Amino acid sequence: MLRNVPIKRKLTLAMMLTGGSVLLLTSLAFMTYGVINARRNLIQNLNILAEITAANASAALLFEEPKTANEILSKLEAEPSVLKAALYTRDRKVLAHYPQSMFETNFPAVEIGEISRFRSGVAEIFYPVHENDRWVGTIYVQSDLSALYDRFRLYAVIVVAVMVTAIMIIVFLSNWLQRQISGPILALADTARAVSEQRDYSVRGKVIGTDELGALTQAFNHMLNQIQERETALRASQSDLQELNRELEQRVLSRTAELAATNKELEAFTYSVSHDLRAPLRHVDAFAQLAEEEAGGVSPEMRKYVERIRIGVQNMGRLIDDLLNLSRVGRADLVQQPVSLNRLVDEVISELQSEIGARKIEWIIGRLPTAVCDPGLMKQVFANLIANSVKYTRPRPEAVICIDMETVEGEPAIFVRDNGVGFDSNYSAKLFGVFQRLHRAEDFEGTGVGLAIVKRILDLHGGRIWAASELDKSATFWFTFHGLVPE
Amino acid sequence: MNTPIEILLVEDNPTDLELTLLALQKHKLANKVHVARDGEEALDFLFCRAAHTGRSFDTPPKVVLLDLKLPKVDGLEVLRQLKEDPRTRAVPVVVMTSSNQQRDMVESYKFGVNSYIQKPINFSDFQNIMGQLGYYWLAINQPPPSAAFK
Repeated sequence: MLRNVPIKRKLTLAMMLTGGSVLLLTSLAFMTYGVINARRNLIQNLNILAEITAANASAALLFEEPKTANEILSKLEAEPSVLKAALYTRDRKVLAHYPQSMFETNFPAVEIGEISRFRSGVAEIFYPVHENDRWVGTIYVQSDLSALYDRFRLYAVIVVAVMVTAIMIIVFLSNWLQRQISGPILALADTARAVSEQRDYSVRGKVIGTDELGALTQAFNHMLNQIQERETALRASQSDLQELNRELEQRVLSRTAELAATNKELEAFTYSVSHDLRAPLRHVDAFAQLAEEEAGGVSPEMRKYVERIRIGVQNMGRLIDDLLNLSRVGRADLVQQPVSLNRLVDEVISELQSEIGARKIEWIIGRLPTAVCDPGLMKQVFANLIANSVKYTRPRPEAVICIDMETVEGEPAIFVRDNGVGFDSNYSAKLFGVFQRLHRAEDFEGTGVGLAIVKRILDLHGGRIWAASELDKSATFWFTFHGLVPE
Repeated sequence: MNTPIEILLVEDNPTDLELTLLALQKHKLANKVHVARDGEEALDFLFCRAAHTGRSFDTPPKVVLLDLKLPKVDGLEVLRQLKEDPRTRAVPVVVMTSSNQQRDMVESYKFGVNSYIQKPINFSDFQNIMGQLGYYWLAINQPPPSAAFK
């Protein structure tokens, strides 16, 4: 209910309610006491009046002299609060009454004994009259309550005056006190608002005194200190980070540009290699042939030399083709589609027929799965490996070439195995390098690029290739790639 | 020079030119050859302009042997212009180049080349190819009728 009322008002209200209720209770007690006291005084006064009058009128009562009695009663005129009075004889008859103009019937029937009571706006008493210790009659006095009312009025005025003064004091005091309490709180709230609105963590609350509020402000300031420190550190690391980021972006940009430039250069290079490097070779070959034709059968030695020149040129041409091939593989965009590996193998073998000629080769070809890969590039893998097997089994009268799949270290791998001349396992690491050859050119022709191309293609497919051999007995090449899953 | 030109040979390299002419000579084809030494010359000849204003679109060569790497205007551009113009579109063009670059082959065929030949390194092979080429385009192939050059 009071939740949304400002602290200022809450404090004032608290003091007002506490002070006011205490004051009200005190005043009520005071008034009650006063009223009780006033009533008792009124009755006492009436009794005294009755006693005095009775003392004067006892003889008149004893002798039943109404005239004297009336005279005595009429002296009550001096007391304006007395409304009625009467004297009763022992046999309960009204002997005299006051005021005399009033009818006797207006007076109550006599009651015996000392009786006092309040009755609708009046107070009345019956009081026994004695003469020489002998009961001679009864006096009755009725009085209005004006005395009582006067008292009431006085009390009310006093209470109101006290209340007003007290409330004024309370308001003043609470104003002063609440400023002591709510002042620092409001100041703290202002500081907090300034901090949160302007994000200025350098603001500090003013510490007033060492009470709880002072401690709170100090704690708040301490908190601000820490926030400011963190904020400063954060800003610093943020700007460091931004700087680093910028640097990194710049570096990435320049590297990308460098890479693009290099790529472009490479492309231009291969393009011009494919055009310009072959032209002189063609010329050398042509003029060698023309020279040979000119020389006619003049010198057999000369013809042999010319032949050598032309073989050299052919080799150079192959080398250029292989190199271009290798660089093309490196830049190829991979096509990924399901390819039947058995069909690739069949195609490759049929294309090698001219190479095989009349040789006897036993082909053992297992069931290979359909794998996801680049059909052109994967065909080249098989072509290079199978061509190698065909080439290196040449000394064998009965060559056996086996192409199948097996699991190696939990991984499916295709292998190509032959009973050819094999290679020295000590140098197997060199097999897949460019221009690396493990055989003499006069024994087996080749440029040393084929397996490098195979490796590069398998790299592109997220795969790998490895080999093992028993020199002069057999060689096996295994390879795996990402899209190779057994059926 | 009264014999009609049967072959337009576009070749910038003097050695290649000499060897090509030698190969054609061997097959008795060299006297009907016109040589252009760059792309611009080739276009001038084919579009009958500059030094060739006297020529007519009705009597184009039976075949154009086009090298790709040429000074001024390169071979692919010559091919493109040739195949874009209705007056020259029907002229058979054979690209002859050292390169077997896929890019060159794709572009050439897209522009509508009639044949693409990679010059072999072996000169005997080259001579044979030139002989076959000349025999095919000059003797076997029916050249486009003049109505095709409109």
